[in-house]
Amino acid sequence: MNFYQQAASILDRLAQQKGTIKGLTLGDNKIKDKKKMYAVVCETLKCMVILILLVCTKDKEALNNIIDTSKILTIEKKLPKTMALLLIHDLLFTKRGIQSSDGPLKQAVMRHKARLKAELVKYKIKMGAKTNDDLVSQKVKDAVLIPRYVRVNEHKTTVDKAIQAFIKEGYTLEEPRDDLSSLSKLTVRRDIHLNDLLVLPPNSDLHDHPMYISGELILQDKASCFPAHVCNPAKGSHIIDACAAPGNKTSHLSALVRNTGKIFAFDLDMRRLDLLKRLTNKAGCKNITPLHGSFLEVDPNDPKYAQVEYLLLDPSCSGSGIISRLDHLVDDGMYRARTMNHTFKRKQGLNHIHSILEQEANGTERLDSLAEFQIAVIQHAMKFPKAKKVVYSTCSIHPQENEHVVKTILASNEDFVLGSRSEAIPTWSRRGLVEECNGDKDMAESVIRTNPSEDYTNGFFVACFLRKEATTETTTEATTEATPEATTEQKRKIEGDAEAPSSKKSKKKNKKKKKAKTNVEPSL
Amino acid sequence: MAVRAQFENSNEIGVFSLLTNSYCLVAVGGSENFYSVFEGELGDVIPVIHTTIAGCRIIGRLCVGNKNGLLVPNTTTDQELQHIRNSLPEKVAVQRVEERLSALGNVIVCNDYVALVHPDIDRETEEIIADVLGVEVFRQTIADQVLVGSYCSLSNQGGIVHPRTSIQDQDELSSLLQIPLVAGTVNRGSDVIGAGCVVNDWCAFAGMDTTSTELSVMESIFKLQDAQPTAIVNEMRDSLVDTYS
Repeated sequence: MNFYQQAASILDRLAQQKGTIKGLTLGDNKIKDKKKMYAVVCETLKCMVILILLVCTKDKEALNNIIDTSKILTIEKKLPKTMALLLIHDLLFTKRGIQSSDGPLKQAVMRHKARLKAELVKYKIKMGAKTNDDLVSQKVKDAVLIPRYVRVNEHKTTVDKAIQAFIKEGYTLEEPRDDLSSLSKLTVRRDIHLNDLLVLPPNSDLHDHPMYISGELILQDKASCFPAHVCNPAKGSHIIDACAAPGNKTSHLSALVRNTGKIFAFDLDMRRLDLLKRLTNKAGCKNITPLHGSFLEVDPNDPKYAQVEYLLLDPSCSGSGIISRLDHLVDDGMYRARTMNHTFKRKQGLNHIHSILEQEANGTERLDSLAEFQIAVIQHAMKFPKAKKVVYSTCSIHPQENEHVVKTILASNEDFVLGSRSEAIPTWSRRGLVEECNGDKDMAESVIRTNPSEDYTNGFFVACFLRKEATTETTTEATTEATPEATTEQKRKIEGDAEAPSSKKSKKKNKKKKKAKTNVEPSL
Repeated sequence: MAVRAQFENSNEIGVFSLLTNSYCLVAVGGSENFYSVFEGELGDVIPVIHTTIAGCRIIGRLCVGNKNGLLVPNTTTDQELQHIRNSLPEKVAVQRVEERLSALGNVIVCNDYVALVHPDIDRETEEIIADVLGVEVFRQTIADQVLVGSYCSLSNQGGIVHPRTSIQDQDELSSLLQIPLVAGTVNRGSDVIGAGCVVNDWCAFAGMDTTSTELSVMESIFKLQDAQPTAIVNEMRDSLVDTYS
C-alpha cells in the first residue's frame, strides 16, 4: 500500500503543479522502485479521463450517456480520490491487478470490482472501442515525441569528439536533416540550425551516460539553445543572464565566449541558484558570477555592471509552449477531466476540477500579469548604460507574452530597435505571427517562433533588441549560432531527466509577490 | 428442440422451473407430468432436480443460475439448500444471497458470461453474482422495466426481450451481451418472456399456449433447430476426424 500511497501523493502534487512527473518520481530518493513508480504514474495519467468518468459523476456533460457510473467515491467515503484512481487503474487496465497486500483501501476498491468492470465495458461500447488501448485519448497517442537534443559542452569536448564517442558506443552517424519525425534507434546527427547541438531519437535515455555525468553533454532542448546563439556575445564581454536558474543557458553562454569575460547570473530562488552553481561547475564554467536577488532591483548604473553589453532575458512565462514528453499527460488527463470547452491553460490540476470558474478568470489575468512583468524586465535591461543587445525569450505560444510584449517595448523605448532576421538564426523558417504584429512583416520576420507540433521542439519565442547606434556594428558575427535561453520552467522540464525536483511552490509564492511589487522572479 | 409444457394448468412454466446448461430445477407438483417433460428431454445429459425454495413452488422466480453456479434467496431453508447441494454437479457453486429484492429470478437474468440486473440491486449482491456465476454484471432496464429477469430470456446463443424494447435498446443490450437479440412474445402474446419460457443452449421449454410462430422465433434465435448437447461434435466431426486420425 505504501507504494500506492506514494504514487497518490505524486499525482496530488502534479495536480497542484508542485513539480513535474519526472521530478516527482525519478528525482525523489524516498521512492524505492523509481521505474515502476514512473510507469504507474504515467499510465494512470493516460487513463485519467476514463477513470474519472468511472469514478465520479460530477461532470454531467461528459457523462451524458453513462447513465449511472460507479459512484464508488460517494459510497467509500474513506477512499481518497487519487488513490482510487491508481487502484482502479491497476485493477482495470493491468493484467496483474492491484499489487499490494490486503488492506482497507484495497478492499474498498475490490468491493466495487464487478461494477467498475461493467462501467468500463459500457464505456468501451459507447466509445466504439474494442480494447482498452483504443480508449486512451488520441492526443496522448499522437503526442509529438521531441527528439532528444544534446548540447555538446565546448568547455570540455568538441562536437566531433562527442560524435566519435557515440559512434564507438554503436551509434550510427546520419546526415543532418529537416524532418525529424522518424529517427531510428541508436543514431545521432548534427542539428541543421545550431552547430553545437546533436539530435538523438526520442526516448534516448542518457541520464546515466558517462559523457553526461562528466558534463561533456548537456541535455537541453533545442528551444532553450536558441537564445544564447541569438545573443552571440563577443569574447571577453560582460553578460547578464536575468533569470538564470537552472543555468543551462548560462553555461551555454559561457561556452560561447569560451570562459572569457564575465557572466552575471541572477535568480530569485536560492535553491535554484544553488542548482545553477552546481550545474555550471559541472560544465566547467569559470566566468559565471551567480547572484541571488531580483534582477529588477539591480542598479543599472552600478559600476560593477558598467561593462555589460549583452543581456539575456528569460523571464517567467506561462510555459504554454512546453510539451516535452510527458507533460501532455498531466494536461490532457487533468484538462479533459474538467469540462471540455474552457480556454486552454496549462496544467489543470485535479483539484482544480472543482474550481473551474476561478481558473477561467485567472487565465487571461495571469497572462496579463506575466506580460506586465516581462515588459518590466526588458525595460529594466535596456537601462544598462552599455547594453547593446537584449535577447528576450519565452517558452510560451501566447502572442500576449510574445509579439505583444515586443510591440509594447518598441513603442515605449526609443533607444532600441529589433534586430533584423540576420541577427536571429536566419535559417530558421518559422518567424513571428504577422497578424499579431499589426501586419508589420519586418517585425514578424525579425523574431523567432516555434510550433511544438511541427518543429520537433518545444514552443518558444525569441526576440533580439539592439541599441540603435549599435545596429550597424553587430551584424558581423551572427551565423548559425543562435542560442539560448528559454524560460526556466521549460529548462527544468527539458532537463528534467537529471535535475528536476524544483520549486514550483516558491514560484507560486513569487508570483504573488510579483503582483505586489513587480519583482523579478525566477522564470516560471 | 423447443417443447411446450404446462405446470398444473399454468402456462408460466418459467415460474416453476429453472434451466441452465449444467442442471435443471423443477418445482414439486401434484403430478409428475411437468417433471416428465423435462426429464424426457434432458434426463440423459443434466440432472433434473425436484425442489422448493422457502417452501414455495415458484422456484424459477426466486433463484437464478448458470452452468457455474446457483444463487438462492436468504429465505431458502437449510434443508432445501442441503438437498440442492447434494443433487447438483460438484462444480456448480451454490450460494445464499442476502438481498432485499429476494425474487432473484425476477431481478437477474444471465447466461454463462453476462448478467443483467435490476438497477437497484445491492452492491454486495452484484459482487456475489460476478464471483459465483462468473459473469460480468450490468445494471440495466429492458423496455424501461426494472424486472429484467421477468422480461427477458437468455442463452449463450441469443435472447428474447420484451416486445416493446426499442431497436436502440436492443442494439445496446446486444452489444453488452455479445449475442443476437429479438423482441418477441410467448404464450400467445404474453410479454413476460422470462416467466413464459426457459432455455439453455440446446433446449427450450415454453408454455402450452405458445403459438407455432412464437416457437419458431425461439428456435431460430436460440439456434435450436439442430441443437443437441453433442452438436459440437457433429458440427466439427470432419475436422475432428482429420485432427485425430
